[in-house]
Amino acid sequence: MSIAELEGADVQRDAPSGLWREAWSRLRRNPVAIIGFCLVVFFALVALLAPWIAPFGPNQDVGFSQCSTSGCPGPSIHHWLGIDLNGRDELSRIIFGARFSLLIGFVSALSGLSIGLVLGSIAGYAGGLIDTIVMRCMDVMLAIPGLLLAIGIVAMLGTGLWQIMVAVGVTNVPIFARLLRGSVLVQREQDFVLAARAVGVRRRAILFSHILPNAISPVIVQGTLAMATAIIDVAGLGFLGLGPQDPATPEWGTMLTQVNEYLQSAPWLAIAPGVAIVLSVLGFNLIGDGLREALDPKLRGRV
Amino acid sequence: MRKKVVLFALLAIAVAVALVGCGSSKKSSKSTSFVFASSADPVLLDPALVSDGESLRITNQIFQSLVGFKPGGSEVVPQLATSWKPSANALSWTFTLKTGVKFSDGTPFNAAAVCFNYDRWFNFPAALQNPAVSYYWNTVFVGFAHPASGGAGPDKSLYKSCTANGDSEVTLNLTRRSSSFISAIGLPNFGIASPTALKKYKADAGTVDSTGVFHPTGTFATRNPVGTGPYMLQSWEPAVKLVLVANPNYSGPKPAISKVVYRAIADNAARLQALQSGEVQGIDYVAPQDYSTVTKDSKLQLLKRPVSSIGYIGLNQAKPPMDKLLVRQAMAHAIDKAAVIKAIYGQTGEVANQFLPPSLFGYAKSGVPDYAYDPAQSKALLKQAGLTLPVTIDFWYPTDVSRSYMPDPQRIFQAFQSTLNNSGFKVVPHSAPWRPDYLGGTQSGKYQVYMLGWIADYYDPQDFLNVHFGSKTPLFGFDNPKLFAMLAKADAEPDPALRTADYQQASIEVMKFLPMVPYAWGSSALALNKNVLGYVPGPIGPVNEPWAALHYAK
Repeated sequence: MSIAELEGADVQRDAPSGLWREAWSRLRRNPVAIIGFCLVVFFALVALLAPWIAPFGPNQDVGFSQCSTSGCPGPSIHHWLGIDLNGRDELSRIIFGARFSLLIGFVSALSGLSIGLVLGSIAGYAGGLIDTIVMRCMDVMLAIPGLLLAIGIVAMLGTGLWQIMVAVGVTNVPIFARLLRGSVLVQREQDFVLAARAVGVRRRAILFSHILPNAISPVIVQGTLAMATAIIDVAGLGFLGLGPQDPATPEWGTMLTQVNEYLQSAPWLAIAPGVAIVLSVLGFNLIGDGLREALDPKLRGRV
Repeated sequence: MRKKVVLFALLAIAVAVALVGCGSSKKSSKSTSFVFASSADPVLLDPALVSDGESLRITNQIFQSLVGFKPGGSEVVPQLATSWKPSANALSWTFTLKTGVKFSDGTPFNAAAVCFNYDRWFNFPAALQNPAVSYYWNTVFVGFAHPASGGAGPDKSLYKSCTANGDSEVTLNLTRRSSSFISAIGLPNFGIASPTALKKYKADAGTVDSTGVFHPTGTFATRNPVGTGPYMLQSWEPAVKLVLVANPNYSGPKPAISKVVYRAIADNAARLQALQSGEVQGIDYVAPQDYSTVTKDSKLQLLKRPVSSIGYIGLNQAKPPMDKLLVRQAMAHAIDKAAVIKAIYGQTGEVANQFLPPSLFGYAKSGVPDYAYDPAQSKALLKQAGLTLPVTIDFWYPTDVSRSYMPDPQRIFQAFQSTLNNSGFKVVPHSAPWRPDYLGGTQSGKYQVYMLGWIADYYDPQDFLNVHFGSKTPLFGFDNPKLFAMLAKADAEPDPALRTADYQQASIEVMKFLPMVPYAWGSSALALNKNVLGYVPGPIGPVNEPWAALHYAK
């Protein structure tokens, strides 16, 4: 056994090898990212376990008869966040609302990511005319403010859950496409790609097994941040009255807009969904920032 | 340097002048002008071509009809006519007109002017015959001289002709007897306009768009509405303000307030804030949750109107299973009216057990079937009708609207949705913007179940019952000749006592047949500065609330 080999084995044991393990170890030491991670896990658990942890059903009448024009009963031991304007337990609605906000946020960010991924990598790797056509289309979409584009799409498709997912997803496509194209362009000129091409690896294999894995890290960061924006956009659409068709759906943005006339008499009904939106968005943003630092190649090797 | 001094001096003078100007204008505004805000802009200022409350609020100050209504009530009182009497067969009504009356443009008001107006309405071109434009002529007089294709012609019209007997007597001839006719012509929609102005400013020229809004090419309905009322239009900048000034040719006593500024502030909270800050001196449509804020404020007064509107859940019988009486009864038992009124209407509503508000004659004091909130009963009725539970219904509610009979539609809808889902139904929610989609959808019979209501135009049961249930309409989609005949008979009855009895019977019949489920009688309220006196809130709301009687406390 040579000395070199021994040293190599030592290095293997001490420092994590590979981008992801290194990133993970750096992420673990970043307290801010851990807070974000905890928040996201908390909301994910709340969403998953909603039927078991919510004290009441989201549309169960627990005290409409106690409501008057000056408002419904406020927070109490039985109803921690009070009763909403239609006599339902506000806490239960917030808990069930996590399902809608996270699900819509996740699906729309994921769909925006996948479509953007395909378009961006094709444009970046193929170059030439295809690149021009795809990227100019993306530029047109980027020229329209995201929320405005989403409003237009919802107005066109009608209100409903999947329409909102489509709308928010579409606004995410150009962001991912652009990001990935830039990343692919950088990787395309790397020596290992040149080497792969030289030994005759097929174009598709080069793209999928060599370029994409190396170009993906900024997309992961953007993906977490996109989740955050998606949750805000969904709430924004709900607030503008373009939320789910059923007004009884416990969606946070819709819940906010339904109480805006009663802000003075029952402020907690607006504060609760507002805080839920802020915390979940904060969670994703903190993770995103943590990931960005962890995956930054300039910081690589420094623990 | 000297230049600077001169500039400074000029500036100082300008500021001084401005300050003095402000001071004096403030003083005059206190004594003679009044700023009022409601929720929307008027549509047009030609009363014959509008049906919304805000347009009629303004035109009611500019125009006068042959007869009017007592402020705060529904009693018919003289206005441009001092007296009137029907012929023996009640087909001709002769009106004696006030003398010495002039329009605000100085032209004289006389019998010929009355006939000119009635003939103008009767001879409306095809575009203006659209019920969305000339809604009230369509409702009250039905037919036109030259009907548009498919429209009602002179044979269907209640109006036959108008004859001027000299300058101060006019006869209106009808094709059939109608007891509600006198109340109906008191509507501000039948306000008499100056024939000279109508011709000069091309009142009838323009186009009607697909949503039923008239876009005039002339300026009568936008800048030059000329009538005999206490006020005349000075300026109107849509979405900014509308200014009325005292009409120098008005025949009655000069109004104490010489200038009224009208503003539209759509947001309830912002409107109240404008009043609290002194920006305006009066607002309409105080939100139910703000009633206590106004009554607690020592500088404000709250004026409540008597209940005069009905909120109901419409059931379109052209859409099964609403054609089954048992299903309609199940709907009625599945609504918790009392909880909805308490939580959402508060002091602005009362639980309704029938279509007519209690203050209107024809209201049935007893004998009305009672449909108490009872989910078990509702489920039993649905099973009895041979349906499998849950029964899916398409339930519509409007967005962007607040009406006295429906202060917060979406919240009321959710309350209904919750109890209906517990009573054997499965509600599929749908919503649409109030104007034009929602109104169009209900009127054309597209919706199965929907929330709607009615505010009195003139305080007569005909305006409630006959308008809704007197003939086959797409709105309710039923054909019930027995009910139609009953209502036609009630409207034609000249004897007031018998007429009341007929309408009471019809009210009960409607509740047995259940073309809709009434749930609330609604009212609305105004808030004014405490020093504004003379405002009389009436059952028909802004349509009959003259500003000429307003004055400030000394």
